[in-house]
Amino acid sequence: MAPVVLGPLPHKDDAVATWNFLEAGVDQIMNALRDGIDMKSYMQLYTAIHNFCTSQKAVNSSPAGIAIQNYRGGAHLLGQEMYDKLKQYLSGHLREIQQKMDTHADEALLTFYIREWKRYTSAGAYINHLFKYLNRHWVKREMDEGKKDVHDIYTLHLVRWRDDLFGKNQNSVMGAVLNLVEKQRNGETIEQSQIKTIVDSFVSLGLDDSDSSKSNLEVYKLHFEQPYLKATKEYYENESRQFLAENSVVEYMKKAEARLAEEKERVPLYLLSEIMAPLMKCCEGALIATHAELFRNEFQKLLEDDRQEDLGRMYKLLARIPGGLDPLRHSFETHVRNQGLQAVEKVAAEGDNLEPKVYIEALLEVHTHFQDLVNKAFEGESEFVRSLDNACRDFVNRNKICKTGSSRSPELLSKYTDTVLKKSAKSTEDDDMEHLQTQIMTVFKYIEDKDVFQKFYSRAFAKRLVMDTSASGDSETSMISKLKDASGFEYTNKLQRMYHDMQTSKDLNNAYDEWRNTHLTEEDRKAAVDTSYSILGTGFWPLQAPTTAFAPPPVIVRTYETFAQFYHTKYQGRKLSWLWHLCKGEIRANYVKMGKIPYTFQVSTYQMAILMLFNEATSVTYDEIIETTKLNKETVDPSIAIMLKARVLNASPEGAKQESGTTYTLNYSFKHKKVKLNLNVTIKTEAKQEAEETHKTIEEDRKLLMQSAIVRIMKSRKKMRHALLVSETVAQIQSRFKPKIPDIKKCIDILLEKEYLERLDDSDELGYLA
Amino acid sequence: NWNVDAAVNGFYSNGQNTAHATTHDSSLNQVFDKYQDAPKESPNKIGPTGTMKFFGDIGVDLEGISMLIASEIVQSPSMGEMEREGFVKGWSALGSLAPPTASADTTAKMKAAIGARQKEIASPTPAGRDAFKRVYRHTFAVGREPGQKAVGLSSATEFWRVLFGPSGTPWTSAGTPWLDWWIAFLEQHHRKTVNKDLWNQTLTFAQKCLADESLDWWDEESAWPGVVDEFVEFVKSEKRAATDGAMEIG
Repeated sequence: MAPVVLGPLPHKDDAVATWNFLEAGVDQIMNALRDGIDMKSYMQLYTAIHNFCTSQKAVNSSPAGIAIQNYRGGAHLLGQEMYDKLKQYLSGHLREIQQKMDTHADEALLTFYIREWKRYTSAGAYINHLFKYLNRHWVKREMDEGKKDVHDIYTLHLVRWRDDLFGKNQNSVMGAVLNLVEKQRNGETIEQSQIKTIVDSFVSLGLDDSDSSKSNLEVYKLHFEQPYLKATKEYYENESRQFLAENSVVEYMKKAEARLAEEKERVPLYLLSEIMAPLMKCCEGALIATHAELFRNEFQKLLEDDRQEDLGRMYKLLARIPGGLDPLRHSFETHVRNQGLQAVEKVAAEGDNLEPKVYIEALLEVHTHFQDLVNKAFEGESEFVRSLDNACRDFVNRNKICKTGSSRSPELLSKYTDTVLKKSAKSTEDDDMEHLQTQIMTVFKYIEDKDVFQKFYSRAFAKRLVMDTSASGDSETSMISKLKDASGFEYTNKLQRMYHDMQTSKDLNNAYDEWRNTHLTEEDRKAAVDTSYSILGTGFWPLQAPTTAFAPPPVIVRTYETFAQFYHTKYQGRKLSWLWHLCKGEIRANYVKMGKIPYTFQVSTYQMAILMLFNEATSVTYDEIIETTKLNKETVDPSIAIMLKARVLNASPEGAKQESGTTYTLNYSFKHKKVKLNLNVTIKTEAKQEAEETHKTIEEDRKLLMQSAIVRIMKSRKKMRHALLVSETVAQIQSRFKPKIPDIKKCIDILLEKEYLERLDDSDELGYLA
Repeated sequence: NWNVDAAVNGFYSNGQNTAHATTHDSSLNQVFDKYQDAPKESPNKIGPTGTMKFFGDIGVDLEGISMLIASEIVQSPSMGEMEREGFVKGWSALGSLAPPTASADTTAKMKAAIGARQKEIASPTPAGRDAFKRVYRHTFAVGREPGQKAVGLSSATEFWRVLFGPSGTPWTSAGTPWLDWWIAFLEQHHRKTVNKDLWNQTLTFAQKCLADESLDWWDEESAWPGVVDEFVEFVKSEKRAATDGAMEIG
């Protein structure tokens, strides 16, 4: 097209002439922008508008009224006609484009739309510039006066496009866009920039009615986003249905995961970032929520097959939809519980001989396995952690081993802890010790009867200390501090005091050595027995007094009397009671030797007393033993039995029972493969009896604990409903053990009977009697 | 409500009746004096011998509920003992509150008052239930061995048989011999003394049982003494399990 040739400038008052002059220029810009327009023509066009807008009166087409109307605020502004004419022109121009557009479809339509849009909007920008004077004065004033249908010239272009063209064609344009996107989803390569331009165009058309200089996303939302989301939903609903008909859920999850990632990546390529949230929601709905039920059914199978990776995938998918994980938590909890119960059942087959280690390791294995699953597959999510905890607490306290009561688990755990902390043939590395203790604490956390653990632990601890069988002091203190962290100062108070007593005793023994050096003659010192003492505070140690009378051998009496003399110089007024049943010693058998070295027997004090009788006589009768040692039959018989079994003593008549009439002699032909022999061994029945006793004291302690809790509560409340009192008592006590309601009620009965409490007015309310 | 203390106080503080009251009191004191075992050593007490004689004179059956009624009226501190204050207050209050037997100040009137009270207890009225409750509760005091806080199980059983027997408020129904079950249960499983709370709550429990024999109102969390809970378990598992089974087969 040849450049437009403009005639002479029209008269400034002649609107018709002015428009005609302008139209040629506008048309040139609109239709042949690429051909350009020379500066002179451009300036002439600009001048024509300027002249028209500044003319005193409009002639010709304008009736007088309009001219008068235009006198406002002292300023005489013209422009209405030019504005209207341009508007008419644009509508006409767009009508032509629109007709041509109808002949295109799909990608051709998009190409056409984009080409026309670009051309039109660039032309609009030029024309806007051309009409700058009109914009600055007449348009500005009209807009200032609040006229909604007057826009600056560029916006006028957009408004016309929107109203004259877009309204008629947007459906087919959008249809073409969606077809293109579908092609891409199906794996074809598409011209992505086209869609981006369309999006931009839709966005540009979102004009704020109240302020046309601003844009909003209404047009885009209504005509792009909505159909886009709808098509997406349909696409994925269809696809997932078909895919699932032919593939497993596991495969589908991979597909869904990939699809979600693709959709997410697509957004920055050609969509508006605003669509991300609704688009993801839409995809999640179609890809996940619709099939959530199927997922859940698969979950159980995946758990059983231990498919960690697939479980992780399912978790991530279901985590995306609201409430998607809730049903899984329940299944997970049940599964863990069942696994725990099964694991226990397996080891329970060993019956009474079940090693604590085997049991605890069975519990830990299940916990470790599922904790790993929670951390890896479920990202350590707190609710799954809670489900794991619930399940573990359940199977740790209620399983086949615990069928007689939940106190079995803490008992076995404390026994296991004892084996961990005890000196053993192969020493435990520090790291291993720390790991084992952490594991113990894992089980401890789930134990409900923490009081039972405490009881057994403190007894075993006392033994380790007194018998000096601890693996190391460091591991003892580290275990205690772990327990303290978990259950508080009060829980470990006595344990700490016990440990402290042992430390003090060490110092005391050193002080005693020094004292002996200054207070005893060298002769006395040489004759004295080599000793070590543990001084234990009565209130802290779970130790009982000996169950038998005992007359220690005179040499022992002398030994401890010397010590007592020393001790009372340091601590006046303290009473020392000797726990003979916990004392032990070594004696050398000078009458039997291995090569040149005499055998050494490690014995209990009781055995020592019996053996030392043979210093005075070659044969000793049962009655003499009883009479001299003053020990009771229950203590003497097993003590002798061990020595008979080890062939240290001979009974006569041979094989005679421990009873009056039996005579014992030393076995002078004693032989053993080691030079040191331990005769101080606990018999299994003793250990069992001790466990039973411990359980019994636990029952008593619990009653007292419940009663004191009840009294404490009632003392502060004075009056309280029975049911509330019961629940408060449970709350106060459950960190130690889980009290049974009938037991609490029994304690209330006891307190009613003891008149600490009274029933008020025959009701369910109780009162406190001071 | 039947509050003896309040009634007595009301009676004494009412000026118009003062002369009247004095008459009662003096004649009641005279009756009291007549039965004293050791007027010198304990002038305000009547011991077992005197009490038994007195009970005989007013027609009280020593094995029956009338003995418990009489003990409650005079507020016997323990079995076979009476004190002057309780005796005078009890009989004079009864005189003023129960006009038909007005001024129970002679043994004949007392006999009539006991009879009236016994009829009242047997009647299913609120006043009757109330009177029964007072007799029931006082029985605990009478039933205790001196110095004990609880009643021995065998004594408790005897008193229950009287109180919950035909002459008291029977604790039994067509389908369920509640009292027999209760006593059998205690003798088998409880085998301890009955403390005051258990004694008092047994009455409440008995009344509840009769009102709704299904025991559906019971739950573990409610405020019953532990023995009652165990009894309910016992009834449900041992006494009724068999019946339920039979019904299922039917």
